[in-house]
Order: sequence, then C-alpha cells, then structure tokens
Amino acid sequence: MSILIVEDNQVSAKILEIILQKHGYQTIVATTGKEALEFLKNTISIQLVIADIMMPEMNGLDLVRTMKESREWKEIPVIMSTSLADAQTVSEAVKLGCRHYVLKPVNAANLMPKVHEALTAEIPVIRNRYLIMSELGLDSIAYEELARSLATQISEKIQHLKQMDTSGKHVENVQSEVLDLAESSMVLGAERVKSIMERLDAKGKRDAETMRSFYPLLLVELELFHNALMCLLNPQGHKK
Amino acid sequence: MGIKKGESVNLMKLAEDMGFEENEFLEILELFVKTTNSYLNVLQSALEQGDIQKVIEVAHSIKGAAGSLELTDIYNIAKGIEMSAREGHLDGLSENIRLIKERNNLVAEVLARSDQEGIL
Repeated sequence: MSILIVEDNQVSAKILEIILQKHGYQTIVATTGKEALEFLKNTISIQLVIADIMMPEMNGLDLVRTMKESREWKEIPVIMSTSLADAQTVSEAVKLGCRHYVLKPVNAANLMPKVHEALTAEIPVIRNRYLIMSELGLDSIAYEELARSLATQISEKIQHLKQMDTSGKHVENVQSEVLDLAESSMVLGAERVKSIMERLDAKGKRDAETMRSFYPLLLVELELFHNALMCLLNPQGHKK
Repeated sequence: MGIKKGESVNLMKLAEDMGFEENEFLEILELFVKTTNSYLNVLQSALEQGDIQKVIEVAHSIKGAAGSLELTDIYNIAKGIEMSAREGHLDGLSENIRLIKERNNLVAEVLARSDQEGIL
C-alpha cells in the first residue's frame, strides 16, 4: 500500500515522507498535480493521496477535481494539507468531495489520525459476528462467552497500560502486552486493529522506535473494538 | 522558533515537539538549509529582473519550508516579501533576502556544531 504525497516544497515533502514511513507506509512524491496524475495512472497500489493546495502547473484543487471525475480514482481518499489562511479553499475542496484536511505545520500528531481516519473510514471496527462464528465453528453461546472474556481482558489491560509510562524506552515494557491483545482481538474480527498490525508487519521490525509510532493507534482501536464488543453483547447500553 | 546569534538553540526540543528523532530532524534541517540557499539565489535574480510572480512563488516556497519547521523568523520575513510582492512592491526587499540568508546561515552553523559535537 502506498501513499502519494503531492507537494512542491521539498522540505514539506520530506517531513511527510519521514512521518509516513515511520508509521509503516510506503510513499511516492509528486511535485505537481500533473505528475501526481502520472503516478496514479501507473501505480495501482496508491491508496491515499496527501496534496498541497498551492502548486505550479496543476494545483491541489484541480487534482482533486480530476480525481473525483474519474471512475478509476474517485474512491481514493484525499487529504488536503493547508494553512489556516486557506479556509475558503478548504471549503472548495470539501465541495469537490474531499473529506479530509490537515493544517500546516504538519507533524505526526496532527497527520496520523487523519491518515488513519481516511484509510479506515470504510473498514468496520468489528466483523460480522456470524462470519466469525462460522469461521471458528462457534455457536452463539460460545461466541458470546469468548467475546465477554476478551472485552474484560481489553478493558483491564487498557486501564493498566494507560497508567504506565510508555515514553522513551519504556514502551518495550508494554510492547508484548499490547501485541498479545491485538492478536487476540483479531481472532474475534477486530478489522481495524488488523489493518494496523498488517502495517506493523510490513515494517518488518518491532523495535521500540517502531512501537512508539504504532502504540497510540493500537490503543485507540482496541478501545473502539472493546466498545463495539460491549454494544454487541449488551445492545441496551453497555458499561465497562 | 527564532534563531538568533549568540542564543542557545534547543533544536532537540523542537525535534521532540514535532515528533522526530534527532537523525531525522537533522536530515530535514540539512535539506532546509540547502533548498533555502538555492531559493534565495532565485529570489535575488527575480528581484533584480522585477519578476513579481517569481518573487511571490519563491517567497511562498521559503515561507512554506520555514513554517513546516516552525522557524518563525524566516517564515515571517518570507511572508513579508510575499505580501509586499503581491501588492506590487519590490523596493527594499533585498534587505529582507539578506536577513533570511543570515538566519539560514545560523541554522547551518547549528548543524555544523551538531556534526562536531554529536548533539543538537
């Protein structure tokens, strides 16, 4: 899976590249809208476009317009990167069907939630329970028993993990706990957790630096998965 | 962030705030110094030729790069050049180019020091 960065400013492009690669994404950089279209034509693995608005030849808005008019590219999500001063332009981008934007200066904290949101918008937090039951050969009672036990485990672990120091090298202390929890959740259909784990696998290593980048996302998605499990088990309203 | 002569510069703090490791931030800063120097040459020529559009474009690029790194001094000077050119005024902008060059050299000096001392 690749992310296409469309940015004429070398420094801004490098910042995006470093942040995204650190989070397990492959990146391609185009310096104009026209060049971006060439990459879109020739690279099938592009799943997200992050585009600056002000660029020579073809600006970001024209790029979005062209993409949304194309049957082939209209479903590829686009994040516009912009400054506050471009509020008018952002509203034009929204009219064109661009649902995400990130304010400059871009850093990991403001970019990654947007990337995650754009890429997972179509991925459910939890898979259909009947598909899981059929795959695992479980009846309703067994499924609910498993789901309840996992939900309790996630809730307790997350409370515990939130109290721990995960900055710096301390992330190594919680690494195995988070990964175990993620693996167990995937068995019961935590689709978005799975997509993060796939990216983690694509990085090929699980050292402290890599884990520091993935840890916050995993925690958020595990909490969402926990809430989904509780809704499913107690449709009248859930409590932890 | 402003970088001024004689001031102790905590770029490591800036790197941390932006979520970068030291080596990543150094790589970005090196690119910034290099591209800003080449932008300044283009800017100076555009100014001498009275090419307002080019001045706007290049000042915008310097502003964007400095803004990305939260180098507010350079950002503000470049923004001033861009705004002035948008209003059709190019007089006196050479001094602003000199100021950016001076500050860019300070960033380069900090980088050179970090090379020698192994710290930011």
